[in-house]
Amino acid sequence: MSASKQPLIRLQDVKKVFFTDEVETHALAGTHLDIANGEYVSITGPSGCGKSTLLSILGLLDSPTEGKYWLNGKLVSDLSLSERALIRNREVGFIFQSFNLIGDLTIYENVELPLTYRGLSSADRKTRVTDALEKVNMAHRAKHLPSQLSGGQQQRVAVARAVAGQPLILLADEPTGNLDSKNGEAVMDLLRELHRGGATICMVTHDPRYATFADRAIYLFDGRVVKEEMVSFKQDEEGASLVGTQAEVV
Amino acid sequence: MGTLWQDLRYGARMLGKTPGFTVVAVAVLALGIGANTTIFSLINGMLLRPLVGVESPERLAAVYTSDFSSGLYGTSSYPDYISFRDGAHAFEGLAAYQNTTVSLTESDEPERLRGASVTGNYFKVLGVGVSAGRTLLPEDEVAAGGDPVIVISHNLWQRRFNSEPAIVNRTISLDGRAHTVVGVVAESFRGLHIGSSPEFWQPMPPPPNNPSARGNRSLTLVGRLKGGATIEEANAQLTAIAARLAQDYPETNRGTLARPDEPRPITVARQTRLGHKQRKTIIGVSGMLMLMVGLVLLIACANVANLLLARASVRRREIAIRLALGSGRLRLIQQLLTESMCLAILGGLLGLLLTLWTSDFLPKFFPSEEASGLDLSVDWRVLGFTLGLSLLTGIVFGLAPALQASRQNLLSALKDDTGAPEVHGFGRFGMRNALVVLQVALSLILLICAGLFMRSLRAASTADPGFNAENVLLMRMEARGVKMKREEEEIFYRGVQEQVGALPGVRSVALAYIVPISGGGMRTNVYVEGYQPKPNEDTELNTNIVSPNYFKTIGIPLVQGRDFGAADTANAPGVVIINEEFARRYFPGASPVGKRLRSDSEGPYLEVVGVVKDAKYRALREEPLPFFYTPLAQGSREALTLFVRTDGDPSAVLPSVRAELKSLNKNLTLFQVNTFSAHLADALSSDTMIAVLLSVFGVAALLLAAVGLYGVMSYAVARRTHEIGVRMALGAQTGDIIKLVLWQGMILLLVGCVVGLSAAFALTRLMSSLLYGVGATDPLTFVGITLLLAGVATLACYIPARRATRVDPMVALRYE
Repeated sequence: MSASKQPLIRLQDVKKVFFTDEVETHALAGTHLDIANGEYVSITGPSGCGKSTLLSILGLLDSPTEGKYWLNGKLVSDLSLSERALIRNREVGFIFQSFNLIGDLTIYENVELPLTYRGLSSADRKTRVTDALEKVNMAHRAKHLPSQLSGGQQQRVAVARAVAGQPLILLADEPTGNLDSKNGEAVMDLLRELHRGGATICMVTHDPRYATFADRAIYLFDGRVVKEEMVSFKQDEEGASLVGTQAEVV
Repeated sequence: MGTLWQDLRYGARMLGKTPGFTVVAVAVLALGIGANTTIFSLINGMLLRPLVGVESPERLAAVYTSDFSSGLYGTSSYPDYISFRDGAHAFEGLAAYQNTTVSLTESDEPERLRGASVTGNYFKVLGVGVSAGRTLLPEDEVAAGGDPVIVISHNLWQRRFNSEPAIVNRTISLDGRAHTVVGVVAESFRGLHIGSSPEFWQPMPPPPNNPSARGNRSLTLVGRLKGGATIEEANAQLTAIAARLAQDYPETNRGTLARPDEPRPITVARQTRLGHKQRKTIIGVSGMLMLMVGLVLLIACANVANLLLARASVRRREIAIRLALGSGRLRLIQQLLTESMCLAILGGLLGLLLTLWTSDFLPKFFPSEEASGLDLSVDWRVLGFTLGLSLLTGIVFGLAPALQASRQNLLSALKDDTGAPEVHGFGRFGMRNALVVLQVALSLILLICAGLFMRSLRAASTADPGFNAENVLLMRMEARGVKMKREEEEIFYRGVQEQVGALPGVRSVALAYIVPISGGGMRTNVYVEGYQPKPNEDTELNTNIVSPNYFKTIGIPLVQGRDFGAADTANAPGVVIINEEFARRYFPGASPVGKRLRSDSEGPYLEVVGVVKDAKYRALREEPLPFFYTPLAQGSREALTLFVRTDGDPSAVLPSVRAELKSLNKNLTLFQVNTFSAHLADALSSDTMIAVLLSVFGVAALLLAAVGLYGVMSYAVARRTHEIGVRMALGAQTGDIIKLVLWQGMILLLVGCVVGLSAAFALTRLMSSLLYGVGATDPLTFVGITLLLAGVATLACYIPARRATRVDPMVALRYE
């Protein structure tokens, strides 16, 4: 599979079954998904539909029970823990709902953390961390601790941490879930800016308003993709109105 | 009272709800409290227990006359005793006694008995009761020359006479002579000292009245103070009498050659179960052991405090609800402290069981004779100590967690607010970490002390004593009954050497009065011809009486001159053999052979005929002493020890040696049969006990510190599960996570080691006098023990670190 012809992400008939005692839970029941380089995809659906499981598999935090997963043309569904950690570190950027900043580390150190695991030199790390913090407008809080920031600011730092490593894809799990609407929209604006800058983004959200920020909205139900919509029109610059979508039933 | 009962019930219920925590905490506390109670019971048995079987023991006082050479606690002469008894009005009565031995010749196999010759008022002064008959009376002293009477111990009465009531007025044979038993002493009285339980008491006949009797100081004095009289008064009265005696009898009652104008100092002290010299040593050793077990208890407290802190975080919400419902902070602290007390009392009870077990086990460290009369049973003092210590322990480990638990953010705790980024203590030095540092530091101190004692013991047991104790049989023998004439003695001893020496498996045989490394010895004033002693120089030197072949038999090389021989008889010119240290001190740069000395300023000169290598004489730890030997024929004694060097195992020749000796003299009593190697091991028994106890405490401390570190790291990992999940999501590899957790543990370890090493450097210097052959700051011990602790601690950190790598980031991040 050559990278130029293939999508950045390809899932082929991916299934995920959780076994608890005698109960089998089919979180994903044969999911097919392609995400192209530079695309901004949102995944929505009701609670328990498998959104987060899908995102975990995309982020190599979990592996599928069945099916195949190619990332940037490489089959990654059967990698060892250590290989998965390596790919997570280099090619995936995570943005979590609850920010997941480390309380003992400063903002600078939090953003620097994934670069440390990559073994970059101190100078390289400094350049990247500074760039990332400037991108989210948080460079002036570099020496603060997460507990000294508001929720919105913490999420911007989490975004900076995700992009500092210049990953192939940004995976955002309910990035506005713990924020008020004003801060939520600010974070969505930030993601849109990153996308405009060329970032590939896959975002899980239950909020239909934010789903339309993406190029494509994917609807999951009972572990299957049941609908995909190409979003033709977006909010205006002020985020005032939703002007139209184009739907495709799968 | 009502709230206390409520707290107790609730505390018991809470402890029952978390059996794992309760068992671990109680076990840790039992170890700490048990170690302390065990050492305390040892101190109690040796130093605190009053004399038993005597009336009002607090009014008994020992009286010592200094001989200038061996400290203040020397013995007194009979005439001095009479002067003291009649002149010191602070005493209701003053008695004298002297340890002695006899052979009970009731059967074919004589049994050697240890007992005492006592003045007739001895039992009256002590206030000792009887099981049968009567005790000795002053009029028995007079009769001692005629029809001898004796009082026996309850133990001997049971053991040899089946507790026969008819023992009173029965005649028994001692040393072949008939003695009338006039009474059996009450069972509770086992003598005045640990390690010497007399089995009989015989009246002491007054010595012949001659001028030299005052100089023969072999009696120990014990007095009963009058009601209201003090030790100080008694001391002042006796000192005044001693000054008067020094004026009246300057020849015998003034100082030695070095201090000719001073009267001999008198010391009056409370009568104790240990001699005052031993007591000083025991106080030093037990103080050190108490300090060590105190450290073990502190480590245990730190450990349990850490467990309580972890538990408090689990009970955060419950405590917040109590506070929200209006419980005052003090009330809450009381509740939490009650729970701690419950734990401490349970730990104390278990610790007491540990002490009961060790009270049977500890006396085995002592040679059997030294342990006689040593009672380590649990009494009210031990119980009180355990209770007090348990309560104190409960406060020590319970207070800090209780204070911290009652000082929490109510709102956050009630909301169980875990959403905000938490600072888990990796970046700050919290109380839990401080407690781990304390544990590491304390266990390092303990381990270093234990290490130093082990090395000291090893140095003492492998040090060259200057003789070869391997394959040597020791056997003390006394010819009782028929008193041999001097010539008969010479013939008998020569016969012993010849006939035992001819036995198969025997390489050589010798006789000596004193066995080396017996803790004591024989000293005498020495006047070396042409040598002028320096001011305050101790001119009393150690000596021994030995037969020909002694040096060959125990392996002391002769470096100059000759050994004693058959020609060195009682009528031959007096001769001595000296050691190299003697030669160095008195004849520097000259050949000692042919020089002369004498042990009495008026006596005949003795010629030095040989020089032997230095050896250890009184103790293995001693510095080289000037020493001289006189030949057996020129200084014979009643009891001598036979030294038999064998080709192989000395015990193999024992039956044939016994039979040979019996064939030479059927009245011979043989006792203290031992190998020389075992005798040396006995000499190191207290060193062994200290080293073993410290090692046990050190290992306990090491385990406690490791458990503490493991607990803290496990707790930290549990608290950081979420963070570790985030790190793994961000690409951290297994090695990164292990490094992260280990690093935290290593910082604690490093700080603990720095604190512990600094404290150990200061502390070990205090015990340098107890060490032999190893410095108090021995680098090998310090480095080796630190590495051992670091190794164990690293393992204790590695296990939680490995567990951290198994954190599932999915679970940690709370995905679906």
